[in-house]
This record gives sequence, C-alpha cells and structure tokens, in this order.
Amino acid sequence: MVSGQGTAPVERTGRVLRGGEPEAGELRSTGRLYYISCNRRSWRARPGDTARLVRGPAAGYLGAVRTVCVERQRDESESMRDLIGAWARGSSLEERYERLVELIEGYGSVCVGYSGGVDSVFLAKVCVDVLGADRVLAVTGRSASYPAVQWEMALECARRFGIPHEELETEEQLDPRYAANPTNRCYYCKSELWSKLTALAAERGYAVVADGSNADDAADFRPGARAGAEWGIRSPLAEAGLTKADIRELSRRHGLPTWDQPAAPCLASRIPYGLAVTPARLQQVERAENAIRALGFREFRVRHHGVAARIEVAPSEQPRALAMARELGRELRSVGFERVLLDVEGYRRGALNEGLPVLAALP
Amino acid sequence: MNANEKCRAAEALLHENGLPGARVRAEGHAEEIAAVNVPPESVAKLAALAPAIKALGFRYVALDLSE
Repeated sequence: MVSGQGTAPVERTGRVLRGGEPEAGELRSTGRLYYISCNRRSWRARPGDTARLVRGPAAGYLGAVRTVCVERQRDESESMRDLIGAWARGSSLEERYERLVELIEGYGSVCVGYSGGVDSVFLAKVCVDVLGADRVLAVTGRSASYPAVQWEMALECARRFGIPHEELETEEQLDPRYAANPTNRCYYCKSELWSKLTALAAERGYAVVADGSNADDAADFRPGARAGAEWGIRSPLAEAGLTKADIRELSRRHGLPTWDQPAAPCLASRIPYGLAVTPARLQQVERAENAIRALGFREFRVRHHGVAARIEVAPSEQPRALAMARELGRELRSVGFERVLLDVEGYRRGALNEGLPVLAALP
Repeated sequence: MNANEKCRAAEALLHENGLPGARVRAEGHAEEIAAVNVPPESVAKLAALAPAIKALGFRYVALDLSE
C-alpha cells in the first residue's frame, strides 16, 4: 500500500487538477527529489501535485493492481505519516508483517544499514529469512559517535542468526557542518553513511539499500530521513506500517535478544544542538553511560551540557536513582563533569528537541 | 529575564509552593537548566512544579547532585 520509491514503468505522468483521487492530466516533466506512493484507497492528492500512473512490479509490492505515485516537493513527511498511519490503523500485525515480507521479496538482494538496535537487527534477520544469507549484507557504520556496547550487540546478533556482516568506517566528524551540531546534524551524518553504503552496495551488486526506520519514526523530527530519501534508501519497516511496538513483538516471536532492548541512538544525540560534537565529548558521554549501566540502570541518557551532565532515567528507575544520588554524582565527576544533575522529568525520547523554535531547518 | 532573574523567580515559586529551602542555579552551556537543591524526599513536589519552572524560561528542571 505504501512505498517510498517504486521502479515500475511509468504509464502516464501528469498534474493533479483537483483534490481527491489523483488524475493524470496535463503531461509534464517531473524532476522529483522525493515522492510517496499509494494505492487508490488511501491517497488524497492536492491540486498541483504531480502524479505518475504506473503498472507492473510496483503494484506487486504495493498490493494494488494499479498504483498512482504522487510526487511532492514539500509536506512529504506529513503525507507519509498520514499514509502509514492509515495503513497501520487499518491492518493487523500479521498483515503488516506479510507486507514487509512482500517488500523484501521484491528487492531480490539487499544491503541493510545495521546498527545492532531493535529495528535493524529485526530487519536484517527477516531479510536473511526471506532472501537467504547470500543475498543480504548487513553493514555497520562505525565512528566515534557509535557506542561500543551497541557494536557488541551487532556482532552477537550477526553471529547468532547467520547475518552476513561488515563494518564501514564513517567520518562525519570531519565535516564541520556536522561538528557544529546544528538541528539537522543527523542529515550530515546520514549523508556520509548512505554515500558510502550505496557505493559499497553498487560495487557488490546489491539491488537495494535499506534502513530500519519504522512507522513511529515518521512522526518524529528526523532530518536524517531526508538524507535517506536523497540516496534512495528504502525503509521497509516504515513502508509496511510496522511501529516500534510491532517490531518488539515480532522480534520476541523471532527469538531476537533485542526485543526488549532500550532504544540506542548515537552518542551525538546526547549533546544539545549548538554545542560542538567533539571526540572528547562523545567519549565522555560513553564513559558516563557505561558507569551508570554498571550501577544496574537500564534505560537512561547522559546529556552533555558542557561542564554539566544531566542524567535522564526512566520513571520506573527514578526512585533508585534518587537513592543512589551520591554514587551517580561520584561516577560522573570521575569522568570529568563538574556538575551532575538528575532530570526530574526522567528519560524521554528526543528530549533535546524540546523547545526547538524551528524543527524543519533542513538544507 | 536573564539567568539570575530566572533563578530568583524559580526560587520564589518553589518557596511559595511548599519548598522553603530550595535553591536554584542556571546550568548548561546556554543556562537552559534549572538546577535545584532540595532534599530527596521533596523531588516529587519539585517534579510537579517543573512545568511552572520551565514557563519561566528554562528548558529542563533537574535535581543538583553536585553537593
């Protein structure tokens, strides 16, 4: 039903003349950067959208006989959210999983961006199940912002589940636009990753490069998704409408140890926008989080605010954090923070995005 | 309000709402954190007042573990 990018032959291209069902009207060139696709049931096109009517292979993985692809230069993320949300609400978990399998079958071969987190481990495992190990390569982009604890999980899962796996060095920290830590920092990081990964995939003959973005991610502030779109990266979990909760449940059924693993974004996400990302700060965050993990905490973040560390702990672990306030303070001072603070609202995803005046500052 | 004024306003708010000994410092590279000193048993009350403290211009409210 929903796709980020199709390869079907274009039958007609035209402009949508009125809202509702897209129509192929006046022919013109498209010149698109991003587009979304849908079947006839779920799309509400707007006047001025550019539409392409396609038949063939795309219809197979989209599950529709006839598919209309609508291209947009703006509001594409909002539109994708609408589409995915409509599909996720109107389908069962089993149907969404079947959709994922269909999508992966359509790839033929795939190179997966593999961090060792819940989503990418699940995706790589399903890709191997569906296509066979000889048609799948999981690749981990490694840099100073990638935590060692995550690398260990990536290695363990690859070994245990027969996922072909390689590492790829990325150098986003050498890009001053990334190091300055603007609100769209992830765009520069993902651009570095996808440029290298798509080159590797092309060299090795993999047809598709995919990432582990899920349907919930479409509702979050994710400038990195734009880099994915520019490099033609597929997001089959999101396209199938699978949410984080879905992926955890399916991971549990597949026997994956990651099913209840806390979300683990890169270490740079602990540094507030505007404060430069440096190897020293990333290392300091990693050492601080390792120390807190060693105290038995499971879901938390150490946010780096210069001389101050602000700890966010999951609400369920907050009473224990208060009881261990002295130890937490001591451990974090030992890695170089002068001030140690415990956030009273606890851990929440995307806390550093709170209060941002402009969420869509994209290049 | 500058950082000092925000801290004084936050302290006044805390004092008026049952935390008479509370002290507030502005922390963070942009002084965006209200670092509050209260006894551990008062943290639930502090958490309940966090939205009001943030409304004074802080982005985060945190218990100061430094002392």
